[in-house]
Amino acid sequence: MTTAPLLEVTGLGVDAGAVPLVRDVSFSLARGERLGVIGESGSGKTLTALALLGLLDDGLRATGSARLDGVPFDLVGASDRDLSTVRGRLAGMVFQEPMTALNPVMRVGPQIAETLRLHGTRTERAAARATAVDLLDRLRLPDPARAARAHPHQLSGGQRQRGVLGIALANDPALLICDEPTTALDVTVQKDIVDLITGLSAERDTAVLYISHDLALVASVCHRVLVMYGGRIVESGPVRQVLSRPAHPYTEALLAACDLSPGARPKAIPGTVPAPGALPEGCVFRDRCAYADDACAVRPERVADASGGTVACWHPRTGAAATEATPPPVEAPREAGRVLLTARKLTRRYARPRTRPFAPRAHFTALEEVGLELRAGRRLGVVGESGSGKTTLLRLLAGLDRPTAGTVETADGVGLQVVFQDPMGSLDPRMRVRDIVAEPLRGAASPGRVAELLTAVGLPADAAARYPHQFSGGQRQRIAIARALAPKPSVLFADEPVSALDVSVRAQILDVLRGVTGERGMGLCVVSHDLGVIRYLCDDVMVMRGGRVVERGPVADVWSAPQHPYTEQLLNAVPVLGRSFSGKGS
Amino acid sequence: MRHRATLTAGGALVVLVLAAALLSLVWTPYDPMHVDAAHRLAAPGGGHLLGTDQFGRDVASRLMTGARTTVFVGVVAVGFAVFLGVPAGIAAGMSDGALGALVMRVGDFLLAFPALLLAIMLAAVYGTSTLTAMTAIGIASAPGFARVSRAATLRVMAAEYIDAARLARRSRTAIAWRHVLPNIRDVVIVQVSVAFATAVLAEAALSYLGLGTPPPTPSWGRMLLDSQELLFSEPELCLWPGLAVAAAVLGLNLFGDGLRDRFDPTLEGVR
Amino acid sequence: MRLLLRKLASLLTSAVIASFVVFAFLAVLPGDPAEVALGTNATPDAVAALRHEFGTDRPLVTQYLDWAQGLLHGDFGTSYVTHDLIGPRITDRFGVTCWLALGGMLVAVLLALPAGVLAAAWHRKAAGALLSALSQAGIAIPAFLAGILLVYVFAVRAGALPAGGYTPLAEDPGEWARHLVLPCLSLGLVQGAVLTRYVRSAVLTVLHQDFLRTARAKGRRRRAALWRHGLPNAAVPVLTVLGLQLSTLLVGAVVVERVFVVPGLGDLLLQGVADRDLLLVQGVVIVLVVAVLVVNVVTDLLYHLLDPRLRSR
Repeated sequence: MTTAPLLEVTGLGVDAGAVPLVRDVSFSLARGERLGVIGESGSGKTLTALALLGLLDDGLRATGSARLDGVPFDLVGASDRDLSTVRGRLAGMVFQEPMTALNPVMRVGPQIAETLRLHGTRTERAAARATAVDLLDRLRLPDPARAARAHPHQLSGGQRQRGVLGIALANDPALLICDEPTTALDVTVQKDIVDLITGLSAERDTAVLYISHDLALVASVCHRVLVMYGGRIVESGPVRQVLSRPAHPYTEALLAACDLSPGARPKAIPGTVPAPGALPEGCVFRDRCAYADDACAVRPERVADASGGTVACWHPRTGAAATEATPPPVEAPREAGRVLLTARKLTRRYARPRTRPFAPRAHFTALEEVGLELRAGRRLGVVGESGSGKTTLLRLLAGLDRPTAGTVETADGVGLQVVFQDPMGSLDPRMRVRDIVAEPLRGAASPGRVAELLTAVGLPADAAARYPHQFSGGQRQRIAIARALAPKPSVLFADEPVSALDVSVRAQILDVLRGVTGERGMGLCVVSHDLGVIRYLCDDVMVMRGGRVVERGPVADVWSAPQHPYTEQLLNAVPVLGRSFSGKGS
Repeated sequence: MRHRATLTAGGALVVLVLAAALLSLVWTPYDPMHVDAAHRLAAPGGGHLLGTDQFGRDVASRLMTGARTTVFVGVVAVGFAVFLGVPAGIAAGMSDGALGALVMRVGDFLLAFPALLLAIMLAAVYGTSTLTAMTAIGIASAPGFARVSRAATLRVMAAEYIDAARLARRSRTAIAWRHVLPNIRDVVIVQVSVAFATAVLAEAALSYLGLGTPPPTPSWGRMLLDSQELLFSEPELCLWPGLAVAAAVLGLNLFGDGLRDRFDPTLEGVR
Repeated sequence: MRLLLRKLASLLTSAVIASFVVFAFLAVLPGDPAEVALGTNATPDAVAALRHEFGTDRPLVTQYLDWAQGLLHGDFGTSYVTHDLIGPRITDRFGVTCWLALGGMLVAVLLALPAGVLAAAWHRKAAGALLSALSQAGIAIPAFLAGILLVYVFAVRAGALPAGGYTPLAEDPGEWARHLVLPCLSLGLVQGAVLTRYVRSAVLTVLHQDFLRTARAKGRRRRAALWRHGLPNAAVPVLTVLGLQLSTLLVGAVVVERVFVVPGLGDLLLQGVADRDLLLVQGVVIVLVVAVLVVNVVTDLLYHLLDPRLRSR
């Protein structure tokens, strides 16, 4: 057993022209070790991974050094020819988007076999294909021979990601780099993929560099963790240590922001993630940090702390009171008011294109006989994975689509509004904010009313004259909420309201939603794949699968005692910080 | 930043052609149709900036008037195509189903009738004239506008702000005016510049074939046809109208590319 | 197979509609061919007699059905002007135009594939910018102008190739080829410039796609990844453009035939227009239109073969 690290990275940097995107990244990785890299978008975590294998886009340049055990040259600055002998043989990589990571005009099996033959592991075409099928079998793909013969578009997201894993693991590499491998997948699929990665890593002594924005997920996969912010490592250490007793204020704030556990109240990090090139002098987190003072104008070095980690901060948290739980906002007990909206036996079918002329049309049932009741002052969460019919349901309830069968009835004078998922796409880029917010008012809008609405969602009144692209994602979502509130609706629908946002601003939007519905006695119906969001925001929950409701009830009851096996499976698939640490030493 | 250079170069060429066309309305060095037997095939320089042709007509004056013909045909033809194609494209993009399919089928069908073929058919029926050339080019360019506006409209209609507008109980017409039109504007403008370039090429080809603007009104294509007879003795006579056509088309294409990159920075260098 | 049938059916409908449109356009709108043939001073009796001879005194529906039925047997009718059978004249000329278009296509493809791929691969380098600029310039030159320039360089100055005319392949293959070189080049260079731009854009799009990164992550070198994974994907959109271009070339040949005095369909068509020989124009136009429709259907089928995402439905 060698004690030399498998991978030793020193002073790694990435620049786009004169703008530094990543700076001073140094870490080492031992054989069989799983190292997590945590950060929000723009933190430089993906660039770091791409730089290691020389896969940066043209126009980006890496500096520093990265030595992989058994490779005679430095990975940084090596030629494409040299690096191509490392990639796919000693180091494999899995990417974020399984839908686009495979060549669409080539069958899956040959794409894996190609990796085997390229590095001489198998030279015969037939042998390579057979090995590819074995590999898919090991990756627990049902009917691997058929999957190998399929084109990528014939497979689901999870199946495709197994194909990509097959390519990465074909030559049994010593290092596997995973860049958000499950972000685009459903939670239950995520659990399978993550279990595969950890299992194979343990079995083959494969080191894993695991990049993710999901703290709980990293906690369940990794031994050690690096926290990145503004292109730098701000903290590192054993995963249990860093995520339970964070030393850096950013880590602490991030933990507080994503904590949706019962009894806690997530706390947003003030400000927004700065653009590269717009970072403050000195400590990169200085202008969003609660503890910053004059000392922070000088960049702190990353130094070892007592517990085996490192931290770059002048005022490291001792961790003693790191996670002082802020109690959830005290709300007056809300009585369920009058019934605002009743849906009965809602069914939505879509016609499939005819396969031959005059054949009877085949139908796909997106939603089958779903009924529900929305009451004033109550918040209903609809949770499900992709294909569960939850978005179809929301569109039917909001009147954006017509049901094939069933009815939606609203009480007299009840207005409906929707907050959409994508804060980029839900605001017309050609309109000023005041026109966007006033759109549902149809000419009855006064400047005062618009200003009032903007203030209600926490935006400055001068936002009215600007265009959507001048705002960050979180601010745009606030504008969308202001628009939805403009006509004083009785029921507010929200379709995945925070899934496109960074962790640090999610909490703000959830609080805005919670606040406006609480004050006005509105009914709220939130659709989300994220159980934490529903748990935090809602009183009642409806679990959907394959177009049907499998379970419904008060949030607390469903969480503590799920009745349906699928609900239980769903709840178990979600990584939870506290639970993750148990059963894994470091 | 490359789009700025492209935009400037293209814009300069377009302005040059436009200026020549506009100036020719009030002034040309000579009467472009004046036949002067005494000064046949005069060399460039001297009294005639670019020399004279085999009938003693001033080449520079004819080029300027030719620019006017080109611009006139282009503006009317493209205007006609926009008027026909854009509303059809928007309607097709906003209605899901039969109408959209119909508009696309008609568009595909029209693709089988390129401008040249249409112009020949029109000329066979009505005789050659500027009007038949413009009509043919206009009809042939309309499917391009319909296709481009439909694709852009479909993208807009898929955006969530359209759902928000529907929740605000905006009518379909209001959605078309308030949301669709402003958001597909850029794409249409780029297509105008592309279609204009095609129109210039088609007009030159038609008048070269004798199917466009009839003589004696000068047009670049006709000048090329006339000069081709003298290719063995006076090759430079081909040069001027040839350069004029190339400059106009190049200018319009560069301008279109520059606009496209400017409107959508993610596409920079892709097309 | 099912797809093939569906495409054939749609081709058939389009062709029928096209024949109807062409007929309507040329037979319903214009003045009376008999009056045209006899001039303005003809007596009403003479006109009526000729009308009867032409068959234009019959109802339009009968005329159309007659004409369309003839087309199915390759009978394009008898010219009002020359009183010849039109069918044989069209078939004679169609071959010439096909050679021109195919030759032009060959030049365009041979030029555009390497130029487009290189322009994309070098898009950050001066060489790539130069290739792009050259293709921009090429697009701006109409084919007939390119023809005139080529004649000047290769026929007038160098005297190496004939400036015009045509020799049938069966008569003398060498002369046939020598006569086709310049017309094909003038068609192909310009279309090649257009195609270069599409190839470049398709390759550039592919260059930024995730699966190319996957290919490199498995150990393919940059260029090998582009060849093995990039180009097969870039071929899909390029193929559509190729189909459209072949149609453009068929029609574009009309102009180039005039430059080089090649006796193709275009020449026949212009002759028909000059003589106001409507039945001849009608026949040539319908042949060209159906040729374009056939090319479109073939492209569509190839497109489905190339892209498995379309094949499976």
